[in-house]
This record gives sequence, structure tokens and C-alpha cells, in this order.
Amino acid sequence: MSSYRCVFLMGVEQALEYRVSFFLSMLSAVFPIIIQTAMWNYLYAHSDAAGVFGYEQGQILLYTLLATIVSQLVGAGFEGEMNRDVKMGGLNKYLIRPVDYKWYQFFRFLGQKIPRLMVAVPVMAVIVGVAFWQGLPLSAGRVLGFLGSLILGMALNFSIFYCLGLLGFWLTDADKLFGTVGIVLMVASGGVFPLDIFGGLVETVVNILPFGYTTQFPVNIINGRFGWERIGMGFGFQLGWILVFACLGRHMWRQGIKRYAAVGG
Amino acid sequence: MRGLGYYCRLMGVFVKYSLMSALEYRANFIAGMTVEMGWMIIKLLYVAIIYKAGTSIGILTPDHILLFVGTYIFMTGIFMLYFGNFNALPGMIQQGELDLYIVKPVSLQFLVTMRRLEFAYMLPNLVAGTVMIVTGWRLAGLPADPFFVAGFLFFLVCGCLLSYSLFLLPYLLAFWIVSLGGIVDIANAMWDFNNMPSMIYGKWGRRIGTYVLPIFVITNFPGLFLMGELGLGACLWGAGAPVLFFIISRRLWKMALKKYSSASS
Amino acid sequence: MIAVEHLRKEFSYYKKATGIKGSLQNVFHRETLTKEAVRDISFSVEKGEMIGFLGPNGAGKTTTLKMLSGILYPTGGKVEIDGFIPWERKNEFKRRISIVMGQKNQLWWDLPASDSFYLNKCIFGVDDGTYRDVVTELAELLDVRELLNVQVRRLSLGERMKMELLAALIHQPDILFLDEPTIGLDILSQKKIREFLRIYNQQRKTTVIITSHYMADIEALCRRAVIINQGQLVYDGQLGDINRVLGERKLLSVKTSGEVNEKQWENFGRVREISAAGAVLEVPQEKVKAVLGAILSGLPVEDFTVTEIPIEESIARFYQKEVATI
Repeated sequence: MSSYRCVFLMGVEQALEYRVSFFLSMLSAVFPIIIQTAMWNYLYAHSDAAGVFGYEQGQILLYTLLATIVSQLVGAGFEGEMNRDVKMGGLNKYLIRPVDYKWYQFFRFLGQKIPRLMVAVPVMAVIVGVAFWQGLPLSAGRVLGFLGSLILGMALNFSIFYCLGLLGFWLTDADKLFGTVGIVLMVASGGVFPLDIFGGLVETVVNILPFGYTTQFPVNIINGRFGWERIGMGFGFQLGWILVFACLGRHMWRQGIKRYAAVGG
Repeated sequence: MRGLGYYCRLMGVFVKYSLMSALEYRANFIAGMTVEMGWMIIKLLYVAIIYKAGTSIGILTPDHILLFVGTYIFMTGIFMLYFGNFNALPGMIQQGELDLYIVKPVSLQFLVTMRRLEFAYMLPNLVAGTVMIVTGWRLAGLPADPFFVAGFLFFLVCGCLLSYSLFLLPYLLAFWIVSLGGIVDIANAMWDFNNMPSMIYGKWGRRIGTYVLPIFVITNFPGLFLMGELGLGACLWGAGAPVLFFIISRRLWKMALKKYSSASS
Repeated sequence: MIAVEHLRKEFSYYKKATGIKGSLQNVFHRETLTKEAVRDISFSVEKGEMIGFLGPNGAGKTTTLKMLSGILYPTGGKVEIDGFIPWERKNEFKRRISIVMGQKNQLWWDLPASDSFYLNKCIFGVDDGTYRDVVTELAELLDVRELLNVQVRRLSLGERMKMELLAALIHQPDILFLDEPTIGLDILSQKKIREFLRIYNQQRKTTVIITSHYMADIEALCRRAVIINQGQLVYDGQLGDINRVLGERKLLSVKTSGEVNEKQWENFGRVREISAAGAVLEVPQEKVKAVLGAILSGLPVEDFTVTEIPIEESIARFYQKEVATI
């Protein structure tokens, strides 16, 4: 009996240990939010920031709070494993089985999001709730739009990083790219700041490129920045880009697998 | 204790060997540089926002802020040069790798914290930081006579010593605690508070960050000195804090080593 | 030269969960357990001597070696080496000693070994001329001259160990501590390293203390052995005298033309091995003659030999606790 008790306590201890670490790591993710909030508060208090950036103060603060979380939720992270599969012949075990590699990666990607969602959804609910209580105009339509665009954002980001992972068929050092590309895409998707604050050409480019539709678009639905027309257009872009990257991925896979078979994996 | 010349010569050997090792893996070296540039984009976004808003923060015009953030990026480069050694410390303690270094007639702290230098992480920061400092200095019309240049460089060196001493402290806990978990994550995340001048954090934030946990001293004091905003007391603190914290880090290191020598097997 | 008196080392450790949570708990309640790794060891070593340090795993060999080299503080007792107390870690002391651990390396992985030598030259402040002479001579002796400019990661395990040894000898220490220097190496590399150590010790009169699992290392190098078990010294003397201390016994191997049953063998001595074609008996030295006579007259003997008990086996008997009282 005592050995079971020991094992049980060890389990609890490990879970707690993990939680403390997890909690502290989360806390360190809060720091950039504090810095940005301090900066925005200062700018909005001392200048016509709303006119310059096109965001109301409440909208930009809500953006700061939510962007990190959304960025985490849509974030990929399987490209390294894909690269190893392609390089070390791990692909073989999928090729001989009646599974499609793409769907295998996709469902694994979704599966890994579940624990995060369980933490993120209540946190976001609290944040949005507080914002609503502070006077954020919120409707059921916006919440649904947000959730829908979040799911499409995940699918889009998956498609983009799936193509990135497939680069391993052609590039010997593909994995060395991932770190840099990851950061650049996080910035480009609006994971740090909404890039449309810079207006003009930047705003146009950001609105056309696919990356903003993974993070910036969903957040701008819930914080009330986008009107319905803009939201409808955004969904169009999201679906369009998903289609483009799905086709690209399909093409890359076909070409890549030919190459893979030719060199013998 | 041997003289300064002895340690400079050793430092020279470490520089040479680290470079030679890095060039063995050129792809990694380039990947390291581009990742660091990715992180730098995020730091630069803050400056871009300030320029876009066109507002001064207290007495700091956007040009001053360019200089401050340049100092921050420059310091990040210096810190990243040896930071890998801090990160390796907990592992070295657990594997008992310190044993072979303890028996050498040289300062163990020097040997362990300066052994491996990461030029890939340092270079982009150093270059961009220098450019921003010089540009900000010019645009803000700050005095450039020898007195001010010397003073600026003096506080820069003070900042280097302070960042070394201050950020080594959390890693020394590894001598007592098996897993540092999120403690070092939090400590390191604090570094980024310098991404914006201390003025935006309000009176109390600024006081704590200057006199209790003097992270603001590292990157704010060189610029403040140039602007003539550093009173005599602050000047003394800017020169004294690095010495104070260096002594603390030495003391703690010696305590830690005593612990290692009596407790490990 | 080296004097060790009543050396003790205890480790106290806590029954503790790892990490912050566990540490917080320990602030309020900690259960301290003590392990005595070394208890009351005394011995001394003369200049130029080469002694073997033997004992089973966990006997306290490495711990003792670490105290002698100043890495660890003892719990009690005294060590004096050339007038220095090791754990005061005076630079003057550090320049006189060197330690090589078979399980740890100090070489830079991605650079040629010669670069690591050069770093040690700078750390120890060896002058250029001496440095060049030492490296040339030792590389010749170790047969690694062609490998000096090859990156360490491309070297075999044996070659790497030779380089570790060379790196440890750059400053020409008076005393060399070796902890399992041949562990994991192939027979040829082991032999080469042994040979090197023997010659080096003869030429330089360097004092060497060596621990090893391989009896062959110790037999080839050391005349004197110090055996410890469970932290205590159980033997200190000439390697060749070990059998005498344990009560001299011989092994009698007898080959017979027909099968002899076990009962019969047992009349002559302790049976260690038995087969259809003969047996091996363990017999006290003074009875060898008598026993042999009896066997020759009573059994169909074809051939026989008398041998010493292998030293390895004698030492193993020291490892068993009941012998510790001898």
C-alpha cells in the first residue's frame, strides 16, 4: 500500500512542479504585455494616438492582451518534426499505411491545441468580459465571428507551416530557417503589434498578405475595430489563402515525394 | 590573483576559440544571426511606433528614444555574447563538470562564465545598436565633445558590468535548487523592460527599476548622462551599482562554490 | 610528500522533492540523511611513488581523490601535500597537481587538441619554450603527433584519452591523480596508456595515484596498492603481499584419466571446479606437498599444475565486508 502512496505523491509532486514552472513561464510572457500597455497608455494620454494609429485606446489595449494568446493558439511547431521525417526516412512508415501524412499532421496539431484551449478560452473570456463591462460594444455575432476566424486562422497557419516543413525535400538546412521564419511570421501576423497601425502602404500590404489573417484579423473582430463589411472581406481572404496554401502544399508534396522516392529516402 | 593582462590574454584565447568553433558550423552561425535579427525587428517596432506617434515621452523626443533603444540593443548584443555560459551553468553543476575547472589556477567564475562566446548573437545587435546610437545622437543634437563621449562610454561599460552581475544572480541558485524552472525565465524577461525608456513606467516603477533592481541603470544612464539629466547622486549610483552588484555576485559565487565542494559527491 | 590522516567525508542530503516547490517545503521541514562516503582513511605517499587505489564501486575512491586534489572539502581529518592543504586551493598548489578523470573531458570538442593544450599553457603560465618541448616530447611518447591538429570530435575514444592526459601534463605537475583513465578503452589503447604512464613516472619521478577497475592497469604500474571498501582502508602494502595477508593458499589443478567423484576430491581440499577430466582444488600452502602425494598415489593422475590465486580474486575478497576486520 505504501508504495502506491509513494507513487501517487510523486505524481502529485511532479504535476505541481510542472505547474509552478509553467506558471512562472506564463508570468514571464506577461512582461511584454506590461511594457506595451505602459507605452500605449502613455501615448494615448499625451497625443492624438487614436487619430494616428486608427485604434481606440480600448481597442489597442484589448489587442495587446489578446494577440499573444491568439498567436499561441494558432502557432505551429510541427515543422521541425516534418523536416526530420523527410530527412531521416521517418516518412516511410506513413507511406506504407493507409493514412494521409497531411491529415495526420493536421489532427495531431489540433490535438495538441486542446490543452492550450482549455487554459486560453477561460482567460480570454475573462479579459473580454472585463472589457465588455468597461464599455466594449460586444454582440453574439462578434463572438461567433471571432471563434470562426480563430479556427480558420489555425487552419491557415497550419497550411503555411506545412508548406514550410515540406521545404526539407529540397533544402539541406531547412531546419535552420525555422527559427527566423517563425519570428518573422509572428511579427507579420500581428502577434506583437497590429501592423496596420502604420497605415498607408504597410496597411495595404498587411491586408493582402496571408499572415495577418492568422492573428490580427480574429483579434480585430472581437475588439470591435472591424465593421461587418471588413469582417466579411476578411473571411474571404482567409478562405482564399487557405485554398492557395492547400494547393501549394499538395503540389509540393507530389513533387517532393517523387524526389524522395528517387533518392531512396 | 593575477593581473589584468593575464585575464585579457585568456579572454583573447576564448574569443579566438569561440570564433573558430563557430566557423566549423557556418550554417548554424548564419541561422543564429538571422534569428537574432528577427528578435531585433520586434525591438525596432517599438521605435517605429514612437516615431509614428511623433510624441515626446517626458523630455525624450523620438530621436532621444532612438538613442535609448539603440543602447538597449547594443547592450543586448554584449549580454548575448556570454549569456550561453549562464544557461549552461545548471547543467555543469548537475554533471559535476565544474570539477575539472576548480583545479585550475585561475578564477573559476571567470573561466565558467566567459568560456564560450556567441558572436552570431552579438554581431547583429552590436551593429544595429551602434548605428542607432550614432543616428539618435546626431538627430537629437546632443553634444559630442570628448567629455560627453567619454562619459557615455563610461556608463556603457558600467552597464556591461552591471548586467553581468545582476543577471548571473538567478543562475547561482542552481547550486541550491535542482531545477531552476521558470525563475530564470522571469529574470531574463525583465531584461526587455529596457525596450522602452524608463520614463514610461511611472514614478514608482522607475524608482524600483533604478534603485532596487537596477535594470534601468544599464541602458538609461548613458543616454541620460548625454542629456545632462543625470544629477551627481545618480552619477554616483550609476558608477557604484555595478561595483556593488559585482561584489554581491562574487560573494554569492563563493558561497555557492563552498556549497558545491561540501555537498556534491 | 602526501600525508593523509583520518580523512572523513560525509554527505548530508535531504529527502527532498526537486524544484522550487520542494525547496519551499524544505524551508519548513527537512529530513536530513547522512552518507559516510569516506571514514577515517590514513596513508602516506612518497615522492615518485605510483600507487594503485582499489575498491568496488562506491567505495569512496573518487571522493578521496577529489579531496586530495582540492575539489571537495573533507568533513574531518587532515591532508598535506608538499606543505599545502588541497582545499585551500592556492594557485601555487594547483600548479603542482593535475587530475584526469576518465568520465570527464576538458578538451574543446570542435577544435584540435593542440588548441586546448595552448589554453592550458596560458592558464598555467607555462613559457613558450617549455610548452613546445613538453608537447613535442609527450606527443611522441603517446604516439599522437599526427593527431595534434585533428578536431577532438574526430578522434577515437582512445586517442581522446591520450590527449586528455597530454592536456593534464602541460604544466608538468609533481603529482598526478588519475581516476579510471582507461575506462571504456580497447585493450590496445589501455596498454599504450599504461606504458606511457610507466615511462613518464620513471623519467619525471612524478607521483601518481591511480584508480582503476582494470587489475591489469594496477598490476602493470603499481608496486603498492591501497584498498578501500565502504569508505574504510582495508589494505595498504605491496601488491605482491596481498596473498600472504589473506593466508597463503595455492591452486592445484589436476587432470585425471577417469572420472573421480566429488566426494573423493573433497577429501583433499576445497573444490573450486570439477569436470569429468579433473578438478581444481584450493589448498593451504603448507599442505600442498602432502596433498599432492596423496592424490598422486590415490587417483589416476595424468597431469597437474600448482599456481597462485589470481591477485584479482584476492582483492575481491577484500571487498567482502567480513574481511574488512583483518
